[in-house]
Amino acid sequence: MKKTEIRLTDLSQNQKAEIVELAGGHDFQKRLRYRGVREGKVLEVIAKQPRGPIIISVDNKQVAIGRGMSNKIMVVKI
Amino acid sequence: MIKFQRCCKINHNDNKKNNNKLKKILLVGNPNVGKSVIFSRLSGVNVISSNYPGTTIDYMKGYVRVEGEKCEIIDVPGMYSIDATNKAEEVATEMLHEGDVIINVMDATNLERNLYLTLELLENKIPMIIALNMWDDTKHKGVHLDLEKLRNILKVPIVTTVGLTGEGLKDLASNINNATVPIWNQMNEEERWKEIGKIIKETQEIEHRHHTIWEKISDATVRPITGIPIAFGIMFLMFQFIITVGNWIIESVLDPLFVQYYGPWIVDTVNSVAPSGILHDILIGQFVEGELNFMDSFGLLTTGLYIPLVAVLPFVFLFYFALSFLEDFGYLPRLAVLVDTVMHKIGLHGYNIVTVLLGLGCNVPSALSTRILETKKQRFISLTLLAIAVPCMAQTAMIFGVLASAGIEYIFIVFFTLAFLYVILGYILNKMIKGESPALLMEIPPYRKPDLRMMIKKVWIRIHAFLVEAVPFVILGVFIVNILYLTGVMGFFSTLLSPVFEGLFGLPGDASSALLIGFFRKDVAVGMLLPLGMTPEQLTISVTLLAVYFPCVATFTVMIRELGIKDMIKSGLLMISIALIVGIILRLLLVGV
Repeated sequence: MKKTEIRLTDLSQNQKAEIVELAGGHDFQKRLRYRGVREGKVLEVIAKQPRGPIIISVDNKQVAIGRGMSNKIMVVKI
Repeated sequence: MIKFQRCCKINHNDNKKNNNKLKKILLVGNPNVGKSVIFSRLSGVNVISSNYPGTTIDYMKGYVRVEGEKCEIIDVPGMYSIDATNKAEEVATEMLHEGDVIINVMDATNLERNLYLTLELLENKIPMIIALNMWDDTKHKGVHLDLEKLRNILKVPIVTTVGLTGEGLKDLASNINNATVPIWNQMNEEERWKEIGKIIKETQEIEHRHHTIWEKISDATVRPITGIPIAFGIMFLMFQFIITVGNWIIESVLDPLFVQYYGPWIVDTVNSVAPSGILHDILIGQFVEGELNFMDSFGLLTTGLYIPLVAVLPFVFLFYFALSFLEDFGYLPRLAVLVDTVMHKIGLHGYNIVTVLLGLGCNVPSALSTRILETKKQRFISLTLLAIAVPCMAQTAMIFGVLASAGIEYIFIVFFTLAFLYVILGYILNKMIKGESPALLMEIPPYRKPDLRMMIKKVWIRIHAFLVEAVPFVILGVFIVNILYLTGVMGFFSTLLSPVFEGLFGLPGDASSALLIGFFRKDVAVGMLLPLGMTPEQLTISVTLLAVYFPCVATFTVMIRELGIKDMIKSGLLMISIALIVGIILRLLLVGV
């Protein structure tokens, strides 16, 4: 059965997920990809600021992503 | 041999007029890969390398001797791709075409991400070599790279380096002349990522590792429940460190030196040339109760030197020391994440906290750092708030000097008012000004042990700037005060402003002259309040007014450049109105009607 896509913001701390879609414009996608946040990559949620940025770890490197952007990153839980 | 030469910080437009036949070497790479450290070692030039993005948008130029030939070496602003997404990357891309040889600096522990730019560079067919930096970290992180395979695939020389220790740099320099013109086909974005996937599969293996203690600590500092108390703790410790050690340095070393040795000597020296009269007054100042009082006498060679060198310098030094430590350690991006939510409410970014921190040292580099902000709205808000609510260390030191004897609670009132202003005014400006505030997107580098050499270099550059810029301004400020007093301009000015000062703020008319001086030096201005014999409440109001009403001339100049005249006028009007409002409110709260 196909797993449901959820937003990055719906994950909780310490959860792991695979990035499925960067649901934004081309610029949005590029900026994320350059920093290692790419489709197919596995991420782990390190920290969530209440109504603020989310820090994830991809390939052992940490990136902080603002709420607005995080809402547009679609993932499936692992 | 690698020779050292002075570097010049230039605007990228100069490049086009450059008729130099020197070979141009460009250091190109992602942000945070250690380019600046390598640049600094190759060129022997003082460069500040920081962990938070976008610190260097004006690039640094220096010289290096490669096998006897003198070459230009340029530290290009960090970029993720030639397809620029911000101002720094635009500048960097333009610069690419001017280079003869490219040294692509890569983070060996982050190969996959770094390869994107590398592939684009290969497609551009400029001779290049690769510096695989942070090589020592690959062992710690369990990253294994097959260098031979990598060389075969990329077909350019690859040298492993450790910028911080200097390892591999001699090798790097000698390989510059071996730079090859890459043979690589143009690809589109998708193809590049596919190619990178292939390369990584063939050349990289990462061991699975369990979380180390440092990683657990790192996580704690960034999660809100633990992170915010930790942040307060760190700020408090930093504060304590600066105040305690600073006071000790002043009381045990600098003040005695000045009072016991320098004081008598300078008085005698000047007396032998000008025992009284205008020259004496300007150089030594007026005696207070028959004695030389370094703070109140107001001579060029007494107060003019005492204030920057004794009252302010120790704190500036310790502040920059602590800040450089936090920077190099890697704490600042995490702090930025913690405060980002609040910062967003006032239209700014989390890493604006760095602007604020810089401003607590000196407003000028802080104002310059606003260049990394993406929108005009953010730059306006950031600069206005800086000028109004962030007191530089010179000011802060004097505020303490003036209010400490009155009681800690007064100091608290001043800073609380400033912090409150920062948030409230920011919130209002954010609502009123049209424009976007882009979301935060920032790499969080791992904690590193700070390199003492790098730290000392950083602190020295910042102190040096303070001494070179500040001391002349203080001396100038004191000189102008004297002239204004002697010519009666000061008196005229205070008579003019008396109604405002006495009526609205409840302060003696003479305090207005401090405002005049405040334009040149905030610390000297605060010092001028001392002889007026005001009550603690009046002092608190004056000090706050001085902080809020207008920036010092150095900051003012930078602001005009960054904002343009129209916006500067708007900002200036805001500052003066806020000063009036704050003055009145504080008066009502502290003194009553």
